[in-house]
Amino acid sequence: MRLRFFFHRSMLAVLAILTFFPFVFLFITSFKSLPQFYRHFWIPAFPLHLKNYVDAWDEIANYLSNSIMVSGATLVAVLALASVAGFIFARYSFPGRKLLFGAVVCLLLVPGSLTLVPTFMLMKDLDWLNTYRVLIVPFVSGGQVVAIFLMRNYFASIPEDLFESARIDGASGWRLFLHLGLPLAKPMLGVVCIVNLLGTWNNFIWPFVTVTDSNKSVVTNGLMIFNSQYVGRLGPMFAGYIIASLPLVILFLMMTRTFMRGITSGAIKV
Amino acid sequence: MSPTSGRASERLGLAERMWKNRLLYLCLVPTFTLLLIFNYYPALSAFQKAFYRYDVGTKAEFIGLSHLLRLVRDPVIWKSAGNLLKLGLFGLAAGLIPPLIAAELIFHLRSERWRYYSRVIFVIPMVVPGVAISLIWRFMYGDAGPVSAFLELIGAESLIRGWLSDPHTVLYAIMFVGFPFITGLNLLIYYSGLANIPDSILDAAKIDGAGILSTIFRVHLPFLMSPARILSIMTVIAVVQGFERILIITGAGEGTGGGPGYASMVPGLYMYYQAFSFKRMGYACAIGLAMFVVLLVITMLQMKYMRSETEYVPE
Repeated sequence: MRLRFFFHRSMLAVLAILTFFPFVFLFITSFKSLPQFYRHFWIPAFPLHLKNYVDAWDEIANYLSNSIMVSGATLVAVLALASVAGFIFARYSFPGRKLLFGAVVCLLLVPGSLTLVPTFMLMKDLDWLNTYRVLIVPFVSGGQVVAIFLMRNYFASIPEDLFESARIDGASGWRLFLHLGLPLAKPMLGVVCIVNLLGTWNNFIWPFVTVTDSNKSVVTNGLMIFNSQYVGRLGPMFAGYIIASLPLVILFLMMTRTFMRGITSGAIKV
Repeated sequence: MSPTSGRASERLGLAERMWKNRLLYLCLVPTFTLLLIFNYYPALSAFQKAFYRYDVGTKAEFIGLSHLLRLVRDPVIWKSAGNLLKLGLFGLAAGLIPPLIAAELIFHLRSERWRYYSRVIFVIPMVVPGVAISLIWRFMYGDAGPVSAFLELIGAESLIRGWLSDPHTVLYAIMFVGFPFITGLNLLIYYSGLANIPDSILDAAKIDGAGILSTIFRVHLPFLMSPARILSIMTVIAVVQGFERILIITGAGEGTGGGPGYASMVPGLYMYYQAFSFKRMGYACAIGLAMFVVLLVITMLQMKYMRSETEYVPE
């Protein structure tokens, strides 16, 4: 009996250790200088070279701020557009409602591989390459699709009586939405935030092909630029990877419950 | 049964109803404008561009099915499809089995707090940017990396090789990234499947004296068919389309990924190179289109095949 208890817990512990091993190795190495690394490969070496982090920060800070701006702007736009559209689709009945909503949902079927090249060509024709627009606008449009789906489902589940009593009290459409619908939808808005944030922050291929100017690069493609500049200098290079990974990890740890709910919801949309 | 249009009845005409709701349509305009320009147009133009020669610098000319013929005769496409098949099968196994094992292990923990903490722990790696992970593994496979160092440590030096430069090992090296393959998302989906099993059934199994293993196989598994179906569709879609990891690990932006010599090329990556290195936009669109069709067929097959599973409907 005891044996099974141990086996059970240690299996789980081993799996966790294996999962985190690359990150732990990265963390330990990021404080080393090259000579330290060659002499002590596996174990931490003292003194810790915090300068690695200072060097890496100078490079990565710019990418981080771009990521924050791009993902933030996208998120705000998606929340605004999707909550309105979701509300309309859920609580009103009008000609073409099913058709329009279906049109939105069927976009979920379209894979990124189909649209990558044509969207790029469109950006080229619009002369949007190497701008901030090229990173934000397509993300807003794409992010809407999932968000509208989620918001609409949520709004549809709110009992009509709540709206009825507000209507009797004289509330009109906008007020129903702003003062009744939105506050009620806070949990789902949180989910949309997470799903959208994860999608835009970690997206690599789109910034990679559309933005080559390092001033406008975000964390994902910035890391590649950073990587090529720091070849061989493992300490600062790894410090850079850690710095680039931290923001979302910290955000996750602060909002764990919302994240956990968001991650599952984002997938069950299929 | 339906009233004629001439009668002054409750039924308004279509145009009248639309006018009545004009404010709603107005509110939907921004949404649909964006969708039209940035989602529908690219998707549809992919179909169109696949039949044109769109090389940068030359005029666009209609060449019909020429791209498709070229695709079928292109040896790289077939090699990359073969690679994709291997990656897909492995990816499916890695995406379905280890997370299930972890979910079961967590599910059987005694305290709810630890069940929650364990899930959180395995989900954390999901928020690390994929780029960082690919770059880390690129280092790990290098001469200075832990993989070789570990083999040295256990005295298996003879196994050391250039994992990424040897065409025989590169594909497997790529598959191995992410070991032990406990994807947070998959874990969570399985776990919620387990959590949804009615207690009555679990209790009945316990009363009948079922041991842990037989409980898992005969009681849990039927309830996990539905999550498994979702996961397999998601995994296939991700693997068929995904080329970012291969791009970074074998090319790192230096322009020669998919190697050595196409040993790790996949259709998605080939499409990328056709478009952004060779500037053959038309051909790239044709590849993307072909991938879309294949993906659609596979997904529909999966949904059809797995729908015929008997599902337990909770009373």
